[in-house]
Amino acid sequence: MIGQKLGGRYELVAKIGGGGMALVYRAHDNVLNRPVAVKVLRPQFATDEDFLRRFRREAQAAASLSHQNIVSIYDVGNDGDTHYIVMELIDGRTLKERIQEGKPLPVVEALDIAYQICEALEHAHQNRIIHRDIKPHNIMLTRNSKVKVTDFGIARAMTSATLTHTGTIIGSVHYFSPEQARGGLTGAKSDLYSLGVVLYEMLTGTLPFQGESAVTIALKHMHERVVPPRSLNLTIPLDVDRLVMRALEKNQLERYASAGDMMADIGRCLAKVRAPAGAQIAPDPPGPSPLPPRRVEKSPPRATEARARTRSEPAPARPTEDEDEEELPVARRKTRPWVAVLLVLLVLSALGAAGAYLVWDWLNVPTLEVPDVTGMVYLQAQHVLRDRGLTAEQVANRYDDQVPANYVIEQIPEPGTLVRKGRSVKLVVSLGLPLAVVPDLRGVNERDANVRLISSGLALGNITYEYHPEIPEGAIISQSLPSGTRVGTGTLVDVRVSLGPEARVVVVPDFRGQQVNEVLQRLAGLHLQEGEVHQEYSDQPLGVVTRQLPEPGDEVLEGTEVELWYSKGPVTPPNQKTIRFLVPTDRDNDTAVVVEWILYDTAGASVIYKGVHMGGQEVTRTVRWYGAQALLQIKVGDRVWSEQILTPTP
Amino acid sequence: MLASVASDVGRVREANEDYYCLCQLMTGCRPVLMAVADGMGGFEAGEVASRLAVEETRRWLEVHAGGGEDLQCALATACAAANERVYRVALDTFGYSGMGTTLTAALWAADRLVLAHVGDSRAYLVRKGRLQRLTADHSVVGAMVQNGELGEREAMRHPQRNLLTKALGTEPRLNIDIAEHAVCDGDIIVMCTDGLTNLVASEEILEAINGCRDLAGLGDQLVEMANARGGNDNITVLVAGIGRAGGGDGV
Repeated sequence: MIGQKLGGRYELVAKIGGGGMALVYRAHDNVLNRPVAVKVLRPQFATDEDFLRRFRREAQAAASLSHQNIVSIYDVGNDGDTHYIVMELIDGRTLKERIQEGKPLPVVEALDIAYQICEALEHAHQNRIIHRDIKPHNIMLTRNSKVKVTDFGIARAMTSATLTHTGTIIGSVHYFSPEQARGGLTGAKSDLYSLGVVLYEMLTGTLPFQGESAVTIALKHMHERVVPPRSLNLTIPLDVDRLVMRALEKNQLERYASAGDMMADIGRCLAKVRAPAGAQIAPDPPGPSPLPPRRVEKSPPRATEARARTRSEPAPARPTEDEDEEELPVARRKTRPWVAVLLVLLVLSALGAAGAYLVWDWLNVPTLEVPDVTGMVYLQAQHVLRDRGLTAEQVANRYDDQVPANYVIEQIPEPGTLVRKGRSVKLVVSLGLPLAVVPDLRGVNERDANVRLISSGLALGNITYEYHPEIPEGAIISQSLPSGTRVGTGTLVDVRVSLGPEARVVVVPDFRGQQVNEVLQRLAGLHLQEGEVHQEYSDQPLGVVTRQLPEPGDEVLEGTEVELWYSKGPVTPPNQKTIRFLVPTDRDNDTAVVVEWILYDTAGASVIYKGVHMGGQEVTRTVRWYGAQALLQIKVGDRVWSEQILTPTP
Repeated sequence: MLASVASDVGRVREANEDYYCLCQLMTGCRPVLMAVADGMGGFEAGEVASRLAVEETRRWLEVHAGGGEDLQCALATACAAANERVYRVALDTFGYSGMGTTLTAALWAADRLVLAHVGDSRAYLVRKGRLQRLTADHSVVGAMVQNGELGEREAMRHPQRNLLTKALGTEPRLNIDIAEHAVCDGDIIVMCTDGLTNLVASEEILEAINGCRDLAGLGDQLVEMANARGGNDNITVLVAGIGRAGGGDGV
């Protein structure tokens, strides 16, 4: 198509690029006599009337935008079947090419580019135009580091049908917002998401989601969590990390409210990152001390140099400086030898001047203010100092529980000190939290676990108690961090403490009516223990259990003792008598005593009463006994206090 | 912080009536609580008293010391609560009447060490190789030493050295010694019961500390010394090195 003149006006000069949808040519506008870029739609689209209509409408809308960061659209038209858009010709390259250079972009450069994209988006969004296809291929960088966003709204012209055979979708899907991937409604916030992806790529050199097919990537945008950029590139400040993550929120409501919002945040981050460099420019004329004119002349270019440096590598600015240095000797060499004497004089004076200059120069190394680099990541501090003509020297590393690893804790000289250019600034860099080795806590009790943890610089966290068949009660079963692990000091270690073997519950069966000997044999099998066994007269046959404690159906712990009463045969009506007993008073000691009544009768010996009483109290009980006579023994404490023979009253 | 605790029944007694605690509280400014207690009262009561006093102090601090700023007030109140608890239990439980305990408890946070003390257990501070005693014995013999009537060595052999003038849990209300000390990196706190101090003189404790490369073994070392000299009482020693870095990893 080269050489063709479209619309009788735009003469195609050379092909400069092409995408899945169109080819881009450098062209010359013969009417306005200026270079332009012409985007020619690929022929397969030219037959899709529906597409063409939308394409033209969107292009016309985009043409209404006029902003320094948006590629201007001059004309939309067709020449027969050739459909084209005429645009501002950008002398530069795409952001894609810049990123493909390898290494992540410096934070300042990335933020600066994102900021300018935001400016473009804000303008477009205010004019109700959504880009829908923000990606590095659509972002141009001019030679003077100006950002120009192109292809506004074109994406909208594409239907899903047209997309399938273009191939561009493969590139774009990396930058698709979840709602775009889902095919849902897209809006201004979709552009902000895509910008987030672009920023992510600039900062880390990689895309947030990788995948073999467009579908996998789209699915990841919808469902997967993004790895924070800072974990890929430590030089990214926390604020910037947060900014990117916010732009990449899956939920539109969580993203920035508008391009202006995001721009303000980028601006804040930019100011923070640039702060040390910005402070350098301000105190440029250092008071009244007279500087040689040569240096004063140099200061204006330096200001621009500082600006340029923030956008690209420091290298390009340097040559001009060197050229200046180069020019002087050349000028001096032009002194032509007229007369020998004159020559000698001149050489001498030149030498003297040069010597004087050298001494003067040595004496007047420019002083500058040491910037505050504490709190910066070491790499960043290095950059900031180098930009100022200082060198960074890492003199020590130190554990610190406040400052994260790799951040500068201290600097010497202190910020604000005036030093000569080239001087080194000594930096103490944090190693992060001091590490502690987790001790083995298994088997020890809670109290000693505390001691061991404190000795290691750690502390006890949550304690949960649970039954354990083997580990004895009170001993630690397991710990949340394995012993030997190295963790930051102050880390809490959770433990599980044994309550001993689980105490199981037994439901006590009904032993009544069974032979006492059989019952006693069964107890062990039921996990119960034999308690006291008593005899008593009853209507039940001899040897049959008459009563039991705990009672049938009671739930008791394993190992509980069972007290049994069994029959010793039928009852003969017992004799009975009411006995009164006055508890003796102890002269010295007014304490409670145990009073016990023991009855000896034909049924044998049995304790018929036991109680604790104060001296002076009266105990009255009706005593029943079998046989003609019985002996009642009353004990107070361990002493037998009285014994009496009981005979039936007539 | 590097710390070690050793508690031993000794060579003569049948039960260990001493109790100790070393733990970091998770409330307020997250201070470290260190405490030793020497219980008294026959038949289990001594064990119950010392344990109750320490655990009640700790429990009270864990529940109430959320504010964190006023460590002195917190510790004093906790000890008062412990006193009341021991006193109540002694009163209400058959067989425990008359039990009591010594209690020397410290809360350490950053550069502050707040100390509460009742009885004849002791706390020492070792700084730059010098030993400073932080507590005064509440005992008859202790009072005599303070009045200059007795020397330390004589006091260690005095037959009435176990008679306390004050103990926790024996009265409903108790005057507890509260003091605050500034501490710094490298300081070492030693807390111990009289099982150690009746057999090992303070300058020997200092010698052991100065000659010791690893604090972790110091507790056991001091207990061994006391046992080698008869071990006629329970011996409990708590040693804590003040420092920001833990686990010997610090720079």
